[in-house]
Amino acid sequence: MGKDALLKVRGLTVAFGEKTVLKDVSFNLERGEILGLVGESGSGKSMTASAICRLLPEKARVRAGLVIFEDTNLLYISEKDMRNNYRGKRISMVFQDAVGTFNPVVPVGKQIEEMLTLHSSIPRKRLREEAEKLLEQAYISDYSEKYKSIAAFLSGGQAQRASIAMMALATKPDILIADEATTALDATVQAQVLDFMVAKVRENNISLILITHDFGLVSRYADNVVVLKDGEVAEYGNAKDVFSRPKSEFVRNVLRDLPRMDRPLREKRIPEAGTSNALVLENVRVDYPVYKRKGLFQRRSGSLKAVDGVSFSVGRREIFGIVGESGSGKTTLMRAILDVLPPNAELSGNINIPLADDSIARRFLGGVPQASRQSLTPRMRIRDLIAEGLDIQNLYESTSAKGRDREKTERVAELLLSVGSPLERMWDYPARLSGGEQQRIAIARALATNPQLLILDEPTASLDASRKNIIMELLVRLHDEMGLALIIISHELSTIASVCDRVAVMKEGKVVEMGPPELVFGNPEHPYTKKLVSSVPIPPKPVV
Amino acid sequence: MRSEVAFYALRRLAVFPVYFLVFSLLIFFVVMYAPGDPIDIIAGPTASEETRQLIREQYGFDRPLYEQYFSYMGDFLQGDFGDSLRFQDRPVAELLWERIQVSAPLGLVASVIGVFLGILVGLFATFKRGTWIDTLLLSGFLVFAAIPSLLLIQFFILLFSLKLGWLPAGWQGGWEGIFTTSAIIPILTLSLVGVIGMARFVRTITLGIMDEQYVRTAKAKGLHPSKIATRYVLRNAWLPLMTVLVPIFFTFFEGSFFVEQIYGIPGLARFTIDSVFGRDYPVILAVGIIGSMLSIFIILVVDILYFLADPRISLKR
Repeated sequence: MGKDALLKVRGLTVAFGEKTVLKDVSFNLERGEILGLVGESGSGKSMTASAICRLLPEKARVRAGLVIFEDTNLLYISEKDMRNNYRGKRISMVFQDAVGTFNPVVPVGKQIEEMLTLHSSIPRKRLREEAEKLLEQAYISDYSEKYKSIAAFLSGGQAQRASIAMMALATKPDILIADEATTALDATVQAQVLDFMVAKVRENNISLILITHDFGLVSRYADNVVVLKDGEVAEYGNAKDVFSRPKSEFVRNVLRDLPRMDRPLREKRIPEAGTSNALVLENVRVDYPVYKRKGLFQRRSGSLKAVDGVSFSVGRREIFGIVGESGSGKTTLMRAILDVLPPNAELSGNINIPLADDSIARRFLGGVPQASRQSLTPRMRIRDLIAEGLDIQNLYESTSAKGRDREKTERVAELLLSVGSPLERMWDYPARLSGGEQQRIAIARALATNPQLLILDEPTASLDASRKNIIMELLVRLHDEMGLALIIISHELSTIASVCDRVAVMKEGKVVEMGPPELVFGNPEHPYTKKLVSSVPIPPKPVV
Repeated sequence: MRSEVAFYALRRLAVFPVYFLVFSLLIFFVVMYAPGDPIDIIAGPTASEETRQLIREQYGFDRPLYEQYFSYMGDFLQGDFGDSLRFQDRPVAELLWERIQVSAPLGLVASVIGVFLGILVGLFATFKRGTWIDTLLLSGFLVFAAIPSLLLIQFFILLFSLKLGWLPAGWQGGWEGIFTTSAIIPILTLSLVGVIGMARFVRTITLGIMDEQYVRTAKAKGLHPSKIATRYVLRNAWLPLMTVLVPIFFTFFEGSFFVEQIYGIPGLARFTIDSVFGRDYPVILAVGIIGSMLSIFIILVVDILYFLADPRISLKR
């Protein structure tokens, strides 16, 4: 970390109105270095990147500090100079939403050409050729086809590679900032895109700032690492040193709390044969009709098999995990079990809930949908949100309105206690709650009708690493105390492995492998499971 | 892609006869069953029952309704909308054509100005968002929408014609009136009423687009703000804007009822009102059916344009 580093950030302080969001952040970036900028949501990672590129949100102001690129303080040059000579040309960025990074109505190739015309002197006639070459370099096999198509026709991985080609390979900047560039991608795609990005960066001697909340990812790829906490640098140094001998308590705690495959949160039990089941699925299929044009009319030409013959049973007090990537049919299966499929879906096979009478089967199932933020109606108070199931099914003993109201308050209070939320939350609106708290509320709502089986779709996906385990511990406690069976759907293998008795791996609507997670992940048999397991960045383990 | 569009247009057009049947039936029977008898108007209040019967037979009002419908529709499809009852047997088509020549240019000019001004005001408000300019623009134009065009035009007449004496207080001539200064007040009134709706919509849409990832990426590319505004913001705002253009045009049409009436413009809207009060059934029927078909046709054209402009739409289906 010499004095002549490519980029020197010194004492960077950014405020949002009165609130300081970045405080005295300093680090160096050498040429060709990969620097991990890691922290939880709201820690100021993206704010740091925006400040370097001078793309801060309107209300944010740099209060102090220097951003020295080569010998220029980027904070003091004119906007025009910044735009023409630095942004995109010398310091470029790629973002999380890869498909959304492209103008949705303009062909991808044209947008790459735009970048080339902006910052290179390639003659007009050769633009197209050059843009196609860049797409080819991004391993997009039908590049001349994709040159003409809009971003919506690209897969997530293709779009991110194309955006790397556009933002980094087209102009070969000195610095590339990847802001959670692979967070939205599936594990196997994530690994592939990261490998691609790192290879290209090394090949072209570009310095990379890798912004992520994933500690495992940083420890795998970064040379040096800056750990941010609440806008301040908690630790800065060589990645290996930081992770193996963390100096700060924060990093130690985070590493301790990461869900890990090799550290279960509970004692696993394999349900013995003959014990009663909470749920039995037999050859469950969900098809969506596909139509094709024939002359003037549309005819059904086939089916999209979202769930393709899934059979398994979940024991009465079992925690069952389902893993798989997006599009593997996990969520569709959950919707089938909860009987909330879209109207054009065609369901066949048997879904049995042995313990429940058919007419009230729904009361025995509780669902916690993905993205709890969107699943909580913003205009309802928490109390009404949690008690909605009680209201709909009228599960009150009292007949008077007043008595029911008291019962409702009591029941909601009880539920809030059991999910570990403060009672005064009852009168709040969901927008005031943090992501973790919203997840608790969604769980409390699912528990309101006293279900025996709770199905949770990606319960930890949107949470920071250190919060993931807290939610998983809550689920384990609820399982123990209430005797609940749980089905946890997730793409995070370590989350599943840490709590589940058994796990099913889904691919293209089918269960390809099933068994105890230690066995399935420890010694995978199916090639897909092998690929899945190998693409998960293993979180560093500190030597304590 | 091209065959996709042709197929889409064909499919939409194929339903057109069904619309036609449903709307013509609906309008025909509503008009026929509405209170009031055209005979009163034709024969006058003093006519004897015999004369009335004679007229009834002459016009075919004695025949069963379905028969009247079919014979009317038969003629209608051949472009013969019958003869007016009020204007002693002048063909309806001729009467309508005279009025359309007055109303159509007026409506077109007013709506083009209104839409253009709306886009301009909306975009300007977006780029000045949160400032006093934003507030002033939006609340200023809201005043014009809050005052009914009925009052607005009277205000303009009072101000520009009677007080200041700059502009005439009424329409001059027939279709050629659009080329005189007498066209300014009606055009001003009609376009101002629609501006705020358009402006607010443009502002909402473009504000949303400013937060999109692709606008951030465009900034990170080092693109000039003016290019971001045209290539990214307007380009994407245009699609949702097209869908509101239809209702906006209808707003202009509605406004013209009052404006033509008060300003004395011999246009279609005023003629329609007079025909309703005069129980001029052939005219009411023709205006109703042609109007509804035209609306459906415009919506269809906009849908096809939307289909052409948005490459994502074939994905969504």
